[in-house]
Amino acid sequence: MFMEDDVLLEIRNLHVGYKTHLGTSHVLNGVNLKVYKGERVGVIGESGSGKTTTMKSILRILPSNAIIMDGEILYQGKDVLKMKEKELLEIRRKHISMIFQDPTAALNPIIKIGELMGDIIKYTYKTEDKEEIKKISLKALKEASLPDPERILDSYPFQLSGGMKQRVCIALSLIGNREMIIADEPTTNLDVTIKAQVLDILTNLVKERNVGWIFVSQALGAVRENVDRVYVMYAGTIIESAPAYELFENPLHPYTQKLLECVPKLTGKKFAEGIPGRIPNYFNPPSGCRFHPRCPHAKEICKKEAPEMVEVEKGHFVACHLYSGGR
Amino acid sequence: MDETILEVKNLKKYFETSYGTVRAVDSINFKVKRGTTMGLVGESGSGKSTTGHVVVGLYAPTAGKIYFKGKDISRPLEKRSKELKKDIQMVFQDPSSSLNPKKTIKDIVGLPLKVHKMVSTKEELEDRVAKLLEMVELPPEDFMYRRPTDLGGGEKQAVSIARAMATNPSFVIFDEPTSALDVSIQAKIIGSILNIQREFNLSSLFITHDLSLMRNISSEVAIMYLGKIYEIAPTETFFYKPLHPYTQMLLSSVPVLTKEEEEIKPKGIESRGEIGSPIHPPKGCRFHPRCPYVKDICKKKEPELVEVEPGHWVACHLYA
Repeated sequence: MFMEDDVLLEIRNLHVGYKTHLGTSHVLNGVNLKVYKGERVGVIGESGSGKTTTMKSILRILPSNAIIMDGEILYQGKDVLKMKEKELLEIRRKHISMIFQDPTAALNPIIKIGELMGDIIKYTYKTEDKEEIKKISLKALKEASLPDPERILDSYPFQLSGGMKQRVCIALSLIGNREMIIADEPTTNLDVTIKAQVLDILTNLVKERNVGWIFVSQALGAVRENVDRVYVMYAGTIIESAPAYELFENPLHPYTQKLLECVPKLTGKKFAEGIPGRIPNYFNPPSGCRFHPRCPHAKEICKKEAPEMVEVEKGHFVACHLYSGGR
Repeated sequence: MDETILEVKNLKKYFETSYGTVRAVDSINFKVKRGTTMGLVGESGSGKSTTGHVVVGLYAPTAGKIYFKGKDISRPLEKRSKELKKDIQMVFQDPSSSLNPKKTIKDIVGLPLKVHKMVSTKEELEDRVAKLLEMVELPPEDFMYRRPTDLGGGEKQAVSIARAMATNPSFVIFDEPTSALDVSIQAKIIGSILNIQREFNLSSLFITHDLSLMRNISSEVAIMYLGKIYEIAPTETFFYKPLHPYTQMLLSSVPVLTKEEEEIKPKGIESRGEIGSPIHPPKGCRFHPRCPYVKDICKKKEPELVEVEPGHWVACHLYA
């Protein structure tokens, strides 16, 4: 469906750690991820699996104690990790935008929405014309299905509900025809019905404008229903990737299988009682496959060698010794 | 075993604020049978947590009655007897703020035992705490002398459950006990809760906005919207035959993982609008501004909760 030369973003062998008073943690352990033009990609995994660290690396907005140890992040062929500050600003202002989990923290509380949008529009469209800025702002808000956009422009963030604030963030992220949007748990803080509304708006806009989209979430159902392809992360590595429906129907990695079994089902079908153990300590991560201490199928080789990603079925990749000799 | 353990009658809880009166809970009725779990679902601001807080006694009700084991308990904690406090316990949503970070797990779980004079010697205390920790699958030798800050979210919530169970309560209120946890950890905690409920024939009120979770834990479900209950049904019926348009809207918004689940989701209804203000709730049916089937009467008259089939109650003019 997507052609090889239409790659928008490619992360190759990314290693990232954090310096702390306890030593250096080695969080990302060789992440590989690709997003094609106009593709909707989901990234799932539990807290602490490195999803947000990966996303922040793309825009180079990691906290100051983070160290990028190795790897490349190619955006339209250019390595973001080698870019100078000026080029980075260009990327953040014109090419990739990010929607964060907490819209309240993402919007400056003492600036009206209109002023905030105006600032961004001024930079992106290089215009000072107030009428034009207002026109663009209103259009963006309308596209994010915000009712009464005139009033919103004149509101402070605290005057809006959580769902409305997140829609404002969506409107902001779409200003200036970006090619890529990263949404890091964009609906986690919202109510069930509002979650559905916000995701609908976001997916429709993404489809309409044919932008590349990374949707990071722990809400597995929401990912299944809204993306083309899914990456599963565990302890700083990508352990499986497949087209969305294929992954949820036919998970291969023992971790993915366990994770899906843990989700309560609407049918009331019995669900698993958790996964034994917890996410490893990144100061001293397990050798070999990082999942081996929790894996029911762990063999000798799993403790020694990290498994390679292999294509088990067309488009379905998995990094697990169970599949290293094919299926 | 059809005995009612908890009955809530015309319960109201209003809060006075500088913006006006918040009608958090506005005349609700429900019953919980002994040994069963009543699920309360709804969006933020629907009044489900306030309902739990009034039942446990954190607030006095503004009006209405709460009967527990046949006795009127419609009063706040300070006016409740020790025996009653022992019998109704609560597990809160955020274990990080409900456990004292300075105390050891033994102190935390042991406190209710001391307060209620349930143990007389140190050995007895230690013994009982160890049993409680085992009940929630925390090996006592590893956890007894650690502090909440050393524990993960799931472990902390397990400690909260052990503490709630310390006094051998017959009724426990779970207020979104897993909404802050990862899915694999949630599965573990829910597993412990289900085991404990079975073993001790516990009755409970389970509050959550997660319908898939509700399906797996409750015997009956009540749905709240802006301080009112709009539908109550046995769990099976609630999921396979939802009647209220709001219930249908909520169910249709649940993202699911399998095809079987997709088949249950109501079709032809889509989520729109947002929950209104509990200070100035809409007139008539409070859901009418978001309802796709709204009629004139819905804007004027509040619908009554009527029993459409045994055990299945709905408040909607479509079924009046």
